[in-house]
Amino acid sequence: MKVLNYMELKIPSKAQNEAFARVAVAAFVAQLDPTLDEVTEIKTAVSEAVTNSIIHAYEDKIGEIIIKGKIYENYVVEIEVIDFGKGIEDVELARQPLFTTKPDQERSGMGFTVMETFMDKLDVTSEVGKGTCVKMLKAIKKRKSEGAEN
Amino acid sequence: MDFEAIIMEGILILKIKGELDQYNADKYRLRFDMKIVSPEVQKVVIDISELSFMDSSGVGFLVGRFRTAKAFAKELVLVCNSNYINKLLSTCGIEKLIKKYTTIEEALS
Repeated sequence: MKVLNYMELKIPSKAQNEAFARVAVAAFVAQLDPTLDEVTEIKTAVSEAVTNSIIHAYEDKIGEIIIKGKIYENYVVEIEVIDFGKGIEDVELARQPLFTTKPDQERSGMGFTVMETFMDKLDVTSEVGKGTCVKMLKAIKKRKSEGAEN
Repeated sequence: MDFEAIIMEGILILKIKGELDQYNADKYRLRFDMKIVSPEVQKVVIDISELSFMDSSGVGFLVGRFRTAKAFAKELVLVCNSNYINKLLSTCGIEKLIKKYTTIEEALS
């Protein structure tokens, strides 16, 4: 697939940056004229991935989170959330609904399930001690003839 | 995020506005719990109809307040008429745990 546009953001893993990250991604995606529901779903998925990096990857320390966005032809959006934190030992297990390593902190254990539900595709690659990359794809319904091609 | 708290005949109504994510959940957890455990409160209604954003950290926050209420033998229900938040709540399976109404009037009756 041909890349029509892209962006990259680098933020420290501070909780107040969750809102910034999801709003920035929403602004990037806006050029495809998505519906309010589509934007909200993308924002939610980004929020989940960034929260995971803050809470789990970096725990009590501050590290860097990179957010990459790509717009492909045919109105497909790809969002990557990358951290260099502690990594996930068992990705399959972590992706199970209700799985959480922090039940005492009111974590719902539904982050990956929400990303899967609200996006069309979710890939998680992780290496213990190195970090995690969450890659998500979503196809935006085409609402106007021009826009993404320009 | 911002909220209003009203106590009416033993019923605490907490109306949340804005964005409920991990950052705000951490910020408001204790303030909500202190209102919920207050002796004059018998029932808690959390109105999330006017939230503009919520993620699974927000769901965790609601479940946490439900558990606080339950520990003090109080009923806690939700009011929500947003399609997006309803989808999030059902994805997370919260409806099996917490009763949900579409209007405040229904929740109070």
